[in-house]
Amino acid sequence: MGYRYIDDHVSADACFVANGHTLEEVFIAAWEAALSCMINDPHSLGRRRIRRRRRYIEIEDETLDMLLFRFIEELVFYKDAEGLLLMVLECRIRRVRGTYKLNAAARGERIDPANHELLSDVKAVTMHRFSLVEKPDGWEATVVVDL
Amino acid sequence: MKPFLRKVEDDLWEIPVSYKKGMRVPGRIFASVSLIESMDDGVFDQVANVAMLPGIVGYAFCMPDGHYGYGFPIGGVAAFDTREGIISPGGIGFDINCGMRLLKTNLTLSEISGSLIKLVDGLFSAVPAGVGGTGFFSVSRDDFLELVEGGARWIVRRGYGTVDDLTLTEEEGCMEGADAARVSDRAIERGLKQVGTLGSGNHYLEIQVARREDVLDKKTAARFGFTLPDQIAVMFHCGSRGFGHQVASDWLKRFAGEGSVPAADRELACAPFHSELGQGYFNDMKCAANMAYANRQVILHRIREVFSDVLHRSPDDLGMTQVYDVSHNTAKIEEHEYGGTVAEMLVHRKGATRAFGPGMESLPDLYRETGQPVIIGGSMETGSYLLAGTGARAAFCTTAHGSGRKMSRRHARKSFEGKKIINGLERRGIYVRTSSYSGLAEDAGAAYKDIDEIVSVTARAGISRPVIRFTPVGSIKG
Repeated sequence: MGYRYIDDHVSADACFVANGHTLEEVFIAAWEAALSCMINDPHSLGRRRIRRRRRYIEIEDETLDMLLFRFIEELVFYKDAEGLLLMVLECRIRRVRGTYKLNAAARGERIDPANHELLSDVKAVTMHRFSLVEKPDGWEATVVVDL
Repeated sequence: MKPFLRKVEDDLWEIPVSYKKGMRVPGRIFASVSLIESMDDGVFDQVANVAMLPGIVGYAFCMPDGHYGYGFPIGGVAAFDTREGIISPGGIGFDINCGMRLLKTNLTLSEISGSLIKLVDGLFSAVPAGVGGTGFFSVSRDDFLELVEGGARWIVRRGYGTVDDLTLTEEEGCMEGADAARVSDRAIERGLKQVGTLGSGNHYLEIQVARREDVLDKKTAARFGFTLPDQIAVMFHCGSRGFGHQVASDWLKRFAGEGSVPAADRELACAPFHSELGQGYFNDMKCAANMAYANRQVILHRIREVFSDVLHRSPDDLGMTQVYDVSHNTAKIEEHEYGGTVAEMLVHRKGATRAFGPGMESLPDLYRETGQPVIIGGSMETGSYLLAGTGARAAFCTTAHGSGRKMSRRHARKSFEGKKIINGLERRGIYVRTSSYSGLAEDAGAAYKDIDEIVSVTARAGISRPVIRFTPVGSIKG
């Protein structure tokens, strides 16, 4: 599980490729890549001696790639609506009667420049070159986020 | 030089319809030889993809600051017949009605030199910037619904600004007919706390000086309010914040599912302008545009407050009047002449500025002779420009919007250090406050194209004419 950025792919924004052995792993890695556009050390979220916040995410879609799109979008939403940066701890994806359902638990903190080195704001996940494909050793997502 | 490009004239290049199957019209790019040679290959493809959209009139254009985006290139301009043409969220962008606002003062550089640090620090406190920044301007949900219908006019009615501010804003600060009841709850929740905030990325607020030698057209500069040597101005760049981003995201998903999706690029999903889908997006886009006008109006008010507090004089006494507010990410219904007839068109501008010329009806009386002020923002290290619109028919009265990136954000972050940039700027008399040193490095001057070259191309091509080149002396970077 991990991610890498693709430099000079989209000059004004950020493009990354995330990998995982399972669907859940690639979803978590993709969000971590997006989070890394906004702060330097996403793994520090929820580990400081400040008030931790937990949020539970429940989304569904008919296709897996749009499920990933909605997943990243949901976490971007918390950043603006509640001022929260969240790290996803657990994620479960199931197929129920032709629809993919995702349940995730996330932990994080309020955005505070005193606690985080802030980088660029992720405005949105785009459909530019957006893909989620199954590979022999797992899953791979290509995502461009608008900064 | 790309073998498929045809030189139409100096600074204007054509991509013929034979370049890509499905192009309905040619593409046209305003650029010097050096700018066109440095453009990403993706720009040409994206211009060609835009040229395939139904109802496009004339050409798919790209401005000299154009670079690779998604859907339209940044710097992309296309007009569509309102009866038979489409609307595409990918032709407007995620930051709906991102734009520039400029106000003048009657102060000179020597008069503020001793107060510069206090002014920048005051502005940095009063205008929140950076990731997820929330504003001091508190509104209820009901108020917010009125705000996105009324734009800057609603803010002025609440006592934050003057009627003159509205007169000197595109659309007089409000796109009419916006119905907030149709906007998603999620968009409202994302935007509710962000009125009066700058955001991050390349959004900034600068105190700038119009040095005597940089006033390029004295007569027009005087009409725009600049008559003093080394006169101080304030320029800022921001948009509709999380509200606009969510509106764009909501509709991108709907267009991808229900609209017409070109094989070339899902970001170019579109719908007939008069379809339910097209009108639904256009309504919400107007709400987002109004949020951006309101946002910039609140920031303008904060700037006046800070100058007044620090210098102990009223904003009126300081001559803090707005020069103009321009949008560079919108779709607007306009009348243009093409092929000998005047018709109503929906002009998409994504990273491109409207540049109405002398005599055009929708301009305020003050600018009827000169053409509208056009504000082209550059990097904090290289300066910015005030120009005048010429109303050139080419590109449907449109010109450039900024410097245009030539280096990716990550590449810039690896190549430059934010603290070093700040120290270097301080040695040049430019005081900078930022919410992010890394973000500052991403927007280093060397990460952008040469703004002087871009402005020169717009002048030679006749799509706008330079009036003043501004140099920053104080900068807040989101």
